[in-house]
Amino acid sequence: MKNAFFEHRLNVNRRHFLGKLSVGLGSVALGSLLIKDLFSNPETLGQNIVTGLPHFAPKAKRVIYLFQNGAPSQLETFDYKPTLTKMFGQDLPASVRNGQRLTGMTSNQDKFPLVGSYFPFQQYGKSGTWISDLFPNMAKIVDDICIIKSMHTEAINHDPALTFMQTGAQQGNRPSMGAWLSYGLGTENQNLPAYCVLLSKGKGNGQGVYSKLWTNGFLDSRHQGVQFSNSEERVLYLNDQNGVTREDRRKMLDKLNELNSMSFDDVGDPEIRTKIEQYELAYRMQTAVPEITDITKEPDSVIKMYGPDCLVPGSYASNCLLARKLSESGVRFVQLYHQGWDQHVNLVGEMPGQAQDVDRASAALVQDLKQRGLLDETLVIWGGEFGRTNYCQGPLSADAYGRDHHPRAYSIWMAGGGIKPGMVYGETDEFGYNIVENPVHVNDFHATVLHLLGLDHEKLIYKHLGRRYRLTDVAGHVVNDILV
Amino acid sequence: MMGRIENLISLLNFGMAILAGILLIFSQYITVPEWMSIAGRLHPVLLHLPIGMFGFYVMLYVFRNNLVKSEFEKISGLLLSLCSMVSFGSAIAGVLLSHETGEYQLSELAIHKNTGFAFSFGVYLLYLTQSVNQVLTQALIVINSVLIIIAGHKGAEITHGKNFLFPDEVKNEVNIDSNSSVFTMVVVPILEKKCYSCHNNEKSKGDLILTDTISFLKGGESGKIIYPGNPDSSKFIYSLLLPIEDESHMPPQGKPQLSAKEIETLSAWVQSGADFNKKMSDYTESEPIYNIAKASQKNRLVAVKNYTFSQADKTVVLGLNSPFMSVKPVYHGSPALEVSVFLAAEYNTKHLNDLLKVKEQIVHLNLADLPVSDDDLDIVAKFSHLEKLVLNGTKVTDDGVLKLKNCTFLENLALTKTAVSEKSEPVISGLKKLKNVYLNDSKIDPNTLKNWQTLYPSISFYMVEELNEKIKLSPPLLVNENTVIPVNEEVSLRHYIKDVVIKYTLDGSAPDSSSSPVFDKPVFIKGSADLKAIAIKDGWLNSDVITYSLFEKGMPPDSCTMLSTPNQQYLGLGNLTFTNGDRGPVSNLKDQNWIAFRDVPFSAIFDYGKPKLVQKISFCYGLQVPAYVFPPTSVKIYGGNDVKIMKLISQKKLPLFDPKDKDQIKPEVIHFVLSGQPFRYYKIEAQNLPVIPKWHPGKGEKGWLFIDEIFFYQ
Repeated sequence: MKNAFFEHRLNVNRRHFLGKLSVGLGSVALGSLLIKDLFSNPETLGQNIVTGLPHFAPKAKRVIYLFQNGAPSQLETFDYKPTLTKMFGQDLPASVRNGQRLTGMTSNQDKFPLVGSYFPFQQYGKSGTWISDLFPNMAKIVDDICIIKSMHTEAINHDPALTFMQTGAQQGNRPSMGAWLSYGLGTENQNLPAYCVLLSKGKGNGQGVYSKLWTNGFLDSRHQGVQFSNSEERVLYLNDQNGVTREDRRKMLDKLNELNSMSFDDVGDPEIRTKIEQYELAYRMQTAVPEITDITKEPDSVIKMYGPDCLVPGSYASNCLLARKLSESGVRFVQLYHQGWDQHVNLVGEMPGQAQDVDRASAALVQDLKQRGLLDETLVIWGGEFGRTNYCQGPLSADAYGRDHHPRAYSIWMAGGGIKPGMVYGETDEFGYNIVENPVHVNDFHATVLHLLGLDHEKLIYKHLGRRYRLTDVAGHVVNDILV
Repeated sequence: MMGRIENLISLLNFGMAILAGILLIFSQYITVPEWMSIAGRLHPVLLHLPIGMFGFYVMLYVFRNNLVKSEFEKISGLLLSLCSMVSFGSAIAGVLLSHETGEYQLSELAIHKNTGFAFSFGVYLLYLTQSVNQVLTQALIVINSVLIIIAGHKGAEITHGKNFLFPDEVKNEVNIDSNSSVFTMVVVPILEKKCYSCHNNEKSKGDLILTDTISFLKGGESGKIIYPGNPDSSKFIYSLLLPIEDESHMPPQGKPQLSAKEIETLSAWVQSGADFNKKMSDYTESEPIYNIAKASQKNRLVAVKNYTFSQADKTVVLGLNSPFMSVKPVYHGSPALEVSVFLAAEYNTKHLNDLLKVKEQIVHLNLADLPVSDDDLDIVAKFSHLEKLVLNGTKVTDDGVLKLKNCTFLENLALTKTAVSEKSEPVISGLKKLKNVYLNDSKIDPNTLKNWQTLYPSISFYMVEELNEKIKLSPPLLVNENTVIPVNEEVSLRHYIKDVVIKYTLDGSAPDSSSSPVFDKPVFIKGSADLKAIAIKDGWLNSDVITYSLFEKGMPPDSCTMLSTPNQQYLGLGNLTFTNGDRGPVSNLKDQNWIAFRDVPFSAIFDYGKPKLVQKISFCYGLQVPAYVFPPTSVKIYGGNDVKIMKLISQKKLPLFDPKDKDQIKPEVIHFVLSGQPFRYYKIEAQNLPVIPKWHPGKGEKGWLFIDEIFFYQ
């Protein structure tokens, strides 16, 4: 055992070693949150990059990612395909499908009958963008957002696809996008985690979200996403127990830190320092979180904007409002997940409810950020993990159908933070099946997000197990056309 | 044998030495016939051999005392003779290679050639004199080592370029901004990557040098390579497009090729006149090169701003960071700082005073939702380079805003949710760089803002459109965690929006806004009840009616034994499922509180341990017709004090399912009122739908029966 500890200490790298020299009680937590290499010349550093600051002038400082978990159909949201309605019930031509693999759910289907959107589309905004009637509020902000109709991914099932969108790899062992940003940009508000996660659930057919989606992977654990609770107490166990004063708490933490520091000196595991930091962060959060999570003081105009559910803890609308408040308070990455978008059957029955859950609040978030002068520095992203098939899964009738998973083309939108507003990017064929113009791969999407935040995706690197890792791994191009 | 070979080689070496001597002296005067130039191309292969052999010999020599002397002499003799042979061979081939037309600048070759030849003769000499004298041998080893290092290094410079071994110390990134010529912005980077290595001053393949503009225009051995405005006839472009097997294709097969985008860039540059000095602004937007340059600029450092002020002291900036404040450079290396202040409860003017240490450098300041007063803006006004100031939700008024009139760099001013009014107009009109002003939820009325928008067209005043439509409230929420209510627990409703009135009924009728009672205190439930409620507030539409099907927990039997086997996919919690006091969510039939029967009807015995009077039984099931989940066709209840002797005490037959309800997804219940007799055992049987009717997609199949709870009341 002793030998193992010794070997571990040999693994402590230069940075940890230098960092360790500066360890002093109490100052540990604060010191390490500051940027160590604030102005130093990048060339003198081993890795040629500085973590904790953008590499170049950023457009966006923060991200709010409204993840629509389960994959909303692009054909009932933003990708208007009248051809499908005209060809109702006809088989998908094999030349269009072109060998696309199928999920286990439709692979034994002998026919792939095409079906268009049950919900009508209309054109909105200066750009005349087509949006389905399910999203009347999003339609109103169409001139502020950029719809990408040509996203495509490699995965065909929820978990790998979701993991791919979040971490840049289908296997769940890499750091999540939020963790990379926390690593690359550091924390802005020392009283809050740099990466927060908010969950909500619609009534539609749901798919799981797991904490591996907001993992720090091989990065230091302080970059992990902090999941907020859906109860009225948004961060569980944050308050002191009855009878414990702030001073008691401080004394207890000081003693605990002392013990942890001793064990760090013994063992040298950097995770112990992270633990000390997290205790200190929690202590500071005790002041900051109640102030920030109190959404009841918002004026009526704001409540109406986000809709009647926006004060109900755990609703999508309240998460949107909370996301604005967290983001405004310097949280780098606020990740929302709204479950219930997996309409294999009964799409017509389930989609209106899902849309109603998110439509008003998503649009309100963009408007609210805009009216507060924050949209130009906040990147808002709305979308799922893949698209849905243009043909019906299961029994087909004019007002009842379902759609299976489709990785080749799907739609998302982005707004603010250096994204060109009022724009539609990319195009699919008349079947909405294949991309015919400006494809955007998940890696490209990641590269673009990092670029907007002032990070070069090829330089934001972490060395792990002898190999250098990036969020975009070995691929990815910044989609310049959608930048301001 | 070894001796014979060595002799042969020795003889060969003598001949080669003479040949090499002649070549060295008369090299300018000879012309190399075609067939011999092939031998010349062996130079890059041969040259490595003497290096290895000589190195090996030196090692052998160093450790000679560890070897048997005679063996050492034999081996080193052979090794040196071989080394000498390949050295001569390599040198001769080198001369031949250097005669290939135009490939190399002869002056650059001189050192390589001379040291190479010197090495060849040096090794030969070493071979001849190896046993003569230790001192001579050692001297020759040292001299030859030096020679081969120089020759090798110079040779490598010719093939790999001068920067190969020691790249130029951090090549000073040419500072590219909008004043740079488009040529340096987009063309040079491609040439640097793909062309310069063969077409430079030292190595000018095809007599073409691209590294300076004069030689570039002059072209190569076949003349001009660029015809401005005409990429198709410019060799510079078409040689890139030739098939890769073509001899004139550039870069030659095996070298890194240009990407389609790079070719497009070069071609667009030639198309637009192949000018070396024109800036982006000199091109029109319709020219492809303009857009390529623009995109590349974006790709580089996004709009680098040049600030006149200097970087603040690093330790000062670090010192300013605290849990109350974040002070950071806008990006790595930028002198500009962005500042956010946090925690309203801990806010103190001192924080702003501290910032005076970096008053020149602050460009962004965020003070949102802090109790910032007008007096505090005296300090803020000293931040002379401020570009963005966020004061949303602060206590500032016009008096404060008017103090900002000297912040001439201000572009964005956010004053949403403040008491600012029309009186702030002088600042709006006075600050010439203002681009965005946010005044929602302030004292300024929308009409004034519209007026300002026309008065100051360079500023955008973003207004959230007043919501004209009324929005529907969400229905009231049940406070109790469970719809199964323990004995004596009160039932409460709530609504999160302030001043909402809740109206309710318990009798199954729909509540309305006038006559139904107001829910202002908790209620108690007897047995089971449907609590129906709506939310009402002025300025909003009434909510939909919500129904909470509530059940008092009752007095569940001690145990349950199922007599039929549930479907393997939906086993629920087994025997416990029926009386654990938890309902299953109808949206998720996979929940463990659901148990399902399909192949066989449901049948189970409930045991109280001793006879007990039960007056009411409520049988709860789920309905999800699209998923083949139907109501039971009949439910029977038996009672008895012996499992073998049970009598039917109540039964209900359900009517055929109405196709018009085919989309229904909801929980359902059947109540049984029993008359008077106590029993120890109660047996319940429920028949699932045996054949799905033909209007349903699953016609002919068996229907599912999903049960989550059975309540027993005294």
